[in-house]
Amino acid sequence: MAERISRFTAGLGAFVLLASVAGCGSGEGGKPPSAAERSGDLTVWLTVDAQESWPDLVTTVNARFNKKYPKIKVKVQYQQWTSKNQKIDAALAGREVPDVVEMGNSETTNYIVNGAFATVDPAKFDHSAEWLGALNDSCRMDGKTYCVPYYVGARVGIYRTDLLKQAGVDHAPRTYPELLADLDKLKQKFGAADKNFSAFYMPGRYWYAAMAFVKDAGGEMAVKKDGRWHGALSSPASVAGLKAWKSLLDAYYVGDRSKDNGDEPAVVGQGRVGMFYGNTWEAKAATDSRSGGDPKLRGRFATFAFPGPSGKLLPPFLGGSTLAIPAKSRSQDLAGEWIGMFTDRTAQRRLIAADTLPNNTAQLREVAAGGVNGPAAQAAERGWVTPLAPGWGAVEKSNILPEMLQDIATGKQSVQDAARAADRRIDGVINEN
Amino acid sequence: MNNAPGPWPTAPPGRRARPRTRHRRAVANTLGLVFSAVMAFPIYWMLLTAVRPAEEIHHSPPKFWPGHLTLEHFRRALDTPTFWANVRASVLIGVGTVLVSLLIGTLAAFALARFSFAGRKAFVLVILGVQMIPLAGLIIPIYLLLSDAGLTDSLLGVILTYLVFMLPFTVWLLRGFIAGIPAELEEAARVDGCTRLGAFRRVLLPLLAPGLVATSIYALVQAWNEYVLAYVLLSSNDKQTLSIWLVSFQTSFGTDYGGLMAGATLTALPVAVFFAIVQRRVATGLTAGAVKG
Amino acid sequence: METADPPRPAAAGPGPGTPGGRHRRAAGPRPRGTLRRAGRLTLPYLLIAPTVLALAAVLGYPLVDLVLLSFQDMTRKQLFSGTSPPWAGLGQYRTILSDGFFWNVVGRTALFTVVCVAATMALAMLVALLMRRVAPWVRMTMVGVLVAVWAMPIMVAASIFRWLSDADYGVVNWLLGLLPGLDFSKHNWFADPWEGFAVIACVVVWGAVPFAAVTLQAALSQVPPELEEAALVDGARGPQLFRHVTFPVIKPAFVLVTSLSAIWDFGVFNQIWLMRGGQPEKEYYLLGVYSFIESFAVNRYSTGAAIAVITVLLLLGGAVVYVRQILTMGDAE
Repeated sequence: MAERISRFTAGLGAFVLLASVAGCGSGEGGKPPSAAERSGDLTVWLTVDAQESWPDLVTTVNARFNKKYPKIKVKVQYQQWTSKNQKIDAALAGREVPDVVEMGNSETTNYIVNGAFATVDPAKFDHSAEWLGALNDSCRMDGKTYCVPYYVGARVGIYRTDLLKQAGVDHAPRTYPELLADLDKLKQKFGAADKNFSAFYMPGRYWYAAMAFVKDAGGEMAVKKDGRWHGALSSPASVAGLKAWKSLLDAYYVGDRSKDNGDEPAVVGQGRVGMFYGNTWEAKAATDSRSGGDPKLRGRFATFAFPGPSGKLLPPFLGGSTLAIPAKSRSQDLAGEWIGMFTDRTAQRRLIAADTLPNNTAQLREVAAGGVNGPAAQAAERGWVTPLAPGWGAVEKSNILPEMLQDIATGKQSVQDAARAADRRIDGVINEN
Repeated sequence: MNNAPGPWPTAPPGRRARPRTRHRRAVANTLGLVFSAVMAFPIYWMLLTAVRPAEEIHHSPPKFWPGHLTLEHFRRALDTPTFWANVRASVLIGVGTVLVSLLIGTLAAFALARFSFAGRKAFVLVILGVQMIPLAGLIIPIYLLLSDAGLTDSLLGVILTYLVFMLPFTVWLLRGFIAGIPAELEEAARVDGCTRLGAFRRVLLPLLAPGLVATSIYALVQAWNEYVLAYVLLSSNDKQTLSIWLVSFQTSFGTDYGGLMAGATLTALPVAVFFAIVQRRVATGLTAGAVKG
Repeated sequence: METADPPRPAAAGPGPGTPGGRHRRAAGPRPRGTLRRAGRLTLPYLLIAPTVLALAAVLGYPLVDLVLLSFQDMTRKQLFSGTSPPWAGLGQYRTILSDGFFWNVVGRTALFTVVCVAATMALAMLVALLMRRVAPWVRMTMVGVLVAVWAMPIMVAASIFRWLSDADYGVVNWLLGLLPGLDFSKHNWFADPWEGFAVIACVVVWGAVPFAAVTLQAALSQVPPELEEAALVDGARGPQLFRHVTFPVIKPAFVLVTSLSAIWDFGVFNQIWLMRGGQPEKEYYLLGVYSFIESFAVNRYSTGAAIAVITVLLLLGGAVVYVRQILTMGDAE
């Protein structure tokens, strides 16, 4: 509290000082303090991923930053994904805003439209010419850039090497028919003895997976026509994708159809799943007892680029993060510099080492093809992002897609009806700022 | 004055020797134990998860008894870098909220219980109405207000916010306790030469002690477990309360149930201990003993 | 008896009169009217001043803001820039009140509240009565359990219940599966909102019983034993004794706990939010959740505010009987 008051008075003092300087002439003309002299706080809101998976990167970047600005105190505060945005909303409306915020790439558009973020100059950042489209597009509007790509993840197929071998398969599937054949073998070998065994794990509300099938079939979640967005899930191509997804689920998944993939590692860790579609780190999580996995399964998972029914790779959703500077931040230049250090070439190398994909295509080639993340890097080139519509965040948060999929998966509605109902709901919110 | 027969009244005398009554008591005991077992099961599950090794946690079929005991989850919970800072924040916020709301709540409750004054109805309505407002609509306005006052990311801001949500309840509860103390006792003290304040302190306050204790528990439990407001108002990780700290066990990799349950045990412990210490007073049946004695 | 006081001894005088309204009527308002001296006019205001000031300072502006917001049309742009949003008049209210889904949610909320409050109060009353009959060690066990439940953070309680009722590795399904002829393996309790709400109601009631039971127990401890003995001598037994002797004494506490439970359950948010993993389906919206979603997920802050205002009005309307009872306590004799 005392600290708070002193900060408050310090701020007041600075304001008075500034006013008096302005009184003497133009404040702008005054010589800016040198880097070593600048003091104050730089508040950075990162999500917990950095804390869990690359805390050392945060430490080194802060140390580098403090070498240049010894008197600036960098305060990194970690946020939860689920509750982050209501906090950001409140903070952005207030006076004291964080100087850097991490945003999911499907969340940024709405904030940019509403003027929450300051522009950044891409030229100041490493590899900005090769930034992944999936991240870069979500940062750009009307030719300006409002955030900096941070990292990305792509989903791949993950299978139990031991189970596949027991079923008489010695390599990962490369085509869709091959995939189905392998799943048939798994089902035959293990499904008969254990009625809880799923050859393929695909919970009914897993929309990132289902939408990959929609994309593969040439469909879209929403399209922009004459300046307005419309849901496009009931288009013939989209419906074909949804049907392909549904038939895969019907044939090889025996579990609960109204669940989402939130506890996928825990379920897979129970040992009754042959293959699943997920992020590369989920293979590791399925063997980590702290996320509900089983350590005994260690070394029994491998990843593969997931083939789609179209004959090409199933296009994965590129879920990623970006870093933005709130327009109300008073240290935008410093925030920019910190982001620059946190996303530069060396930092991206650290992220690759943590089994994530980098923010640019140049370094995507550095991802070892044979490693667990190789298939993800391979699939990432066909990756997609959610529609860059102002109301997309609302579409996600009102659970339109999962609810549609649940209705389809449980057979409550036909694919066509469910998709049409979802389109109506999407139309209701997608154009709202 | 607290010479009431123990915390809970014993069964009315004159009925205990009969065999039928003994039979009835056996039935009552059984019912009580069954109820306790059902209610306690989730707590048992929490403790069980906190002390069993990770590989047993998700075992299928479930095991209801730990194969091995381990402290690894507690160790992991205690090793979180911010744990002790979070304890400190929780204690400061809890104690601060409880003390201030008791202090000013008692005054208002006294006014409500002892005086008839213009505007009393309106006051009662406000007290009642405040508890009905859904929190969701207030989060941003409260944040903006505290932001203007420079009280975001400050424990004082959270205490103030909790205070207004706790006060109505506190006032309402304490009003009942005060109304239960006959005003004649104060009158008598004042006839004996006490000032109004003296009468309040020497007569009312001791009689009110159980009421204050009970109210403090209600307030403490609320302040200790609140999550939404604290999360929005506090952004520094080392100023956050234990209830926010607990959420950090739900990672994007899945829920670390072992760590979460160990953390939950640690979080609930202080409240349970506090209650255990003061429960006699709560249950003493307020002023009944004094009035009759 | 009209007043709805929290626990308080029924009989102030040494000779408890006939059980029933009469002597309590005398006990209720007695405290007042006895302190009437100088300062009587200003003292009560001084006493309530800190509370009023605190409420006004911290809640005054946000409340006004909330109500104003419900008559405007606020978007994120205005929220972030601090410019004032355009007025919408009664537009928000008109949209909400003419929306069938909203009334659906209202009905659902009311039903949920009634069920939860009834279950809570019935269970708490039984437990409180039971506690007087059991052996001391059983009583201590019960108290211990109640306290532990009370001290459990909602977030933890919700995640335990969610886990116990999980479709893939939940204990409940496994236990039910042990019963002959039942196959609950992979049964999802949240696929059907009725079942889902049953689980959520369990969490709510489980968490609410300790407060209710302990308060009722405290009230019961004030029932003078002489009163019950006298009734026993008169031949009153079991339910009769409870209805005519015991209950009238604890009625104020009972009414208080009932109404508080009703207020809390009507605005229930955390349990639903947490049990549905922060993504409640439309079938799981109750008023509290609905208002939150409109504000923070769909960014219709004004709609969210209007729902909040309507919620308060509905509660006040529903509690009108209770409110009148409370207000009469302010009346002079």
